[in-house]
Amino acid sequence: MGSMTKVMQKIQEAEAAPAPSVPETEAVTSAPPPGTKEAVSSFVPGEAAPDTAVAPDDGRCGARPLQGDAAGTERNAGADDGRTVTWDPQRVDPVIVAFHDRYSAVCEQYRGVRARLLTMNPARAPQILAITSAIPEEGKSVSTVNLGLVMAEGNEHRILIADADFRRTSIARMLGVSDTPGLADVLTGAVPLATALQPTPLPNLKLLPAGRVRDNAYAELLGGPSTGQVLSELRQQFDYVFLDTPPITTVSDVCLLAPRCDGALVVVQMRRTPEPTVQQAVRTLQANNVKIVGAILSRFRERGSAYYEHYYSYYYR
Amino acid sequence: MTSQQGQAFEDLRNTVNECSRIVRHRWRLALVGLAVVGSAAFWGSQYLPREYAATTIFERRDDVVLQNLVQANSPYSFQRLKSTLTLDMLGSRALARAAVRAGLLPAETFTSDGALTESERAALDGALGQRELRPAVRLIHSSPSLDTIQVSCTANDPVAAREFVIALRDHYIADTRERIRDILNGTRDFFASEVARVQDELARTTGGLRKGFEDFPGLDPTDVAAVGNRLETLRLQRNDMLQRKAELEAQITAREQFLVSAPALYIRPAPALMGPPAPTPPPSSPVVEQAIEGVRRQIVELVTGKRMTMEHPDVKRLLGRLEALEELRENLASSTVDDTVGLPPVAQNPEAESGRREWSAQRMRIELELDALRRQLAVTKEQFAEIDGRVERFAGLYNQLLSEGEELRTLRERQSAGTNELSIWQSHLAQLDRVLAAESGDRGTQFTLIEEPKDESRPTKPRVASVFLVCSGLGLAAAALLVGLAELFDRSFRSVGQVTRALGVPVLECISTVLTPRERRRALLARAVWTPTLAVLLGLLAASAGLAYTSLVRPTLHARAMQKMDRMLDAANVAAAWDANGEEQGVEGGSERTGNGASHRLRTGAPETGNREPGTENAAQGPADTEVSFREGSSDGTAVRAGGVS
Repeated sequence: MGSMTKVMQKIQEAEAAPAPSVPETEAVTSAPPPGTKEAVSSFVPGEAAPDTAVAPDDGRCGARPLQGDAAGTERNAGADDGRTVTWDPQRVDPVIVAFHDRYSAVCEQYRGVRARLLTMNPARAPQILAITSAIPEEGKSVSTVNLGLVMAEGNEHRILIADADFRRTSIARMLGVSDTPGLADVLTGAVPLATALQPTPLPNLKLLPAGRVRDNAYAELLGGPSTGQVLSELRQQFDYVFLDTPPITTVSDVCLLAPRCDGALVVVQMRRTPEPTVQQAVRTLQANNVKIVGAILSRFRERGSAYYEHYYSYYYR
Repeated sequence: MTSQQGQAFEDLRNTVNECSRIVRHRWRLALVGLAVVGSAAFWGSQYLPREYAATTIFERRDDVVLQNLVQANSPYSFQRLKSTLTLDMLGSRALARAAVRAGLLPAETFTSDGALTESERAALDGALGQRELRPAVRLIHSSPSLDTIQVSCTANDPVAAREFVIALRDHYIADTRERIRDILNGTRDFFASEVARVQDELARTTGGLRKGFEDFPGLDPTDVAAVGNRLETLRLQRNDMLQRKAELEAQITAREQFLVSAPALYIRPAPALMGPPAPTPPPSSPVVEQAIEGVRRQIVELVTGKRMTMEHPDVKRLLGRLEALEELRENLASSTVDDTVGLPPVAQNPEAESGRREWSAQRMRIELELDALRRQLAVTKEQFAEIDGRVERFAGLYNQLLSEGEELRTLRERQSAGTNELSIWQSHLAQLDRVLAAESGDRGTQFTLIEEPKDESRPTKPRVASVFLVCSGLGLAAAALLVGLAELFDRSFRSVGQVTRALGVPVLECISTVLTPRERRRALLARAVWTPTLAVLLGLLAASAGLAYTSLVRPTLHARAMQKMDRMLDAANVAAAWDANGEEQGVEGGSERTGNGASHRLRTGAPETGNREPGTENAAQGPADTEVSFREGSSDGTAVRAGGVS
């Protein structure tokens, strides 16, 4: 509890600080080269941010954003370096509930997915899961990030969140971090994998943005030989790799990438995605020998879920 | 609970849950369908044909006694009035009269008597059908003496229905009064004849019963004891009369003897001539002596024979008579000495002269008394003879009564029965007379108006409940249809089971919607759009329902509201017409506005030629009347023509 008090005091001091000297927009759009100190500080709102970065708390502190370690301000060079970084809560999309409100009902639902995944993998074999959907805007990226965050809780597994949707990159934007270098850069060989991996507030969670694809050669990039090598490398470095992929029925990228993964999670938005479309997507995946681990139903609004949220909030009040 | 029942219950519960889930999800769509279709249905219900009803209730109270009497003695009984109620009220002739009185048809329409002719019936049916008049009569309550009758009529015009009902009722009451009056008159004649007949029979019976007793009024011939008492009384009267006669005879005899023997007592001879007076023999009267002896014997007989005391009334009466007789004997003895009648005249002797004058006066007195007594005796003899005769006759009747008692009793019973019957008939006759007297002023027959037809402007059909039920049902059906169609064409996933069944993959978790600010803004925007939309639709629904309700419950208020709405629409049309006219004139280069009334012409499309300028008639007569009338208020004939050809 002493550390928690310290954390709270520091947060208040940071809020009382003068206006940030580094503009937010500039930090996002003009990211410095990787591995530099400026690049790390660009994710922190204000100059005082490095001082306020603390280790994630371990208690039930309610809807408080996930914080990184002060030591994580340095750029991480690998998966096991244990470095963390602080994400600016103002920049992280509110839909990342695993960051903003770790004890919300939605976050708990993602923990339910984590439990199912762990149950389905009793051998704890490294797994690369492609998270896809039938049509766009069903919640793939949100589910990918939230799932990665809750999987990283407890510091038991090495988790990677990778954005494989080169056409509409969204993970970096949602988290308010730089989109480059990323997976595309790694696949093209422009940047080594260790360099492209970005630290997160959690030491066992890494982020691999989409990167920059030249000449719109998405299919060639994902279908190339380097993809297999990169995935093998990722499989060695991480226990779980969550790949945010494009929608199945829209583009064929996922058909190139998913067969090389250990399975796919299909996100289905309730009351929006037509059933035939989802069935077609599932058939497409099955036709490409993709093992469908399961489905995640997003935007599920039923009376039962409301009850669940009510009792959940009551229990953790 | 068996497994099948459990499964059925589970299916039912799932179905209910699914339905409730669908409703929860698509409540806005359902509300839209409900509001739109319900509003249209409520609005359309204002144009449904209306049916108005008028009802009147009245009572006809019949006198119980009259009814019972009339029922058995008249072809027009009160029961017949009941049985012919429907025909009397709703027969063709009754309907025709009511239609004439209600002003639906002229009186000249019906000229025939009896059944209606074909033309008359067609006219009647046409008049009734035009207003959809449907009369009905119902006997709400019926008892032997009281009928409660309800007359009702439905029509598409409340005034016609009311007038028709009143006409039917009044005609029926008038006709029934006339029929009842006829019944009562006929019955009264019958009662009067019965009274006369019973009176004759009673007179004959009474005559037979009092035969021989005419001279004895107040005596009941059948009462044997009374007759016996009366006979004894007559006998006593006869005995008294006999005794009176004997007394009078005795008094007369005594006075006659006095006249014979008394002069010697009043006229004395001269002492020289006559010498000393000889001793006077004691006076005597054989009749008095006999009477005294007779009375004494009677007294002795009563005292000795019948053992009566001296205080017995008969004995005392005989003693009184004996005393009177002895007094009479003494008077006779004294009067005999003074009597000078029959004596030779005496010489001029003053004493003799005075005695003679005294005797003359005494003799005159006695003679007067004798004359009075003789008259009394004659009257007494006549009375005695009469009463003796009556005693004889009464004794004979008494003996006859004793021998013919049974026959007389029968006669008496017949007389009693006849008297009772006569009193009953007379009572009924008196009642009838009273009723008829009251009937002459239309006050006798008991028609009581219980409920007058109300001046009701509210229709009876369609009913408020039916309209609201049907309109609500239509709205709900539309809502259900919309929701059903939406569910039918919605191919998205709505439940976990559906995903599992369709995809064949396990569902790891259901992730709720994250309430981000963007989601909140989106929800707020949706609410900002939906809330006023639904409010407007619900307001429209409420307004339509209110109008529909008002049109059924408060028609006058509804009419005022509709008139106000028409005026508002008129005003709006006028404004639109002005604007359109202004634009048109602006195009044509004119700046003159049309006058009032354009909006009405726009709405109705009916041509009006009364206000046209003389020079515009030709232009107005054409297929484009509406456009012509659009310009009718203009004072410029050129403008009118231009509008008419546009």
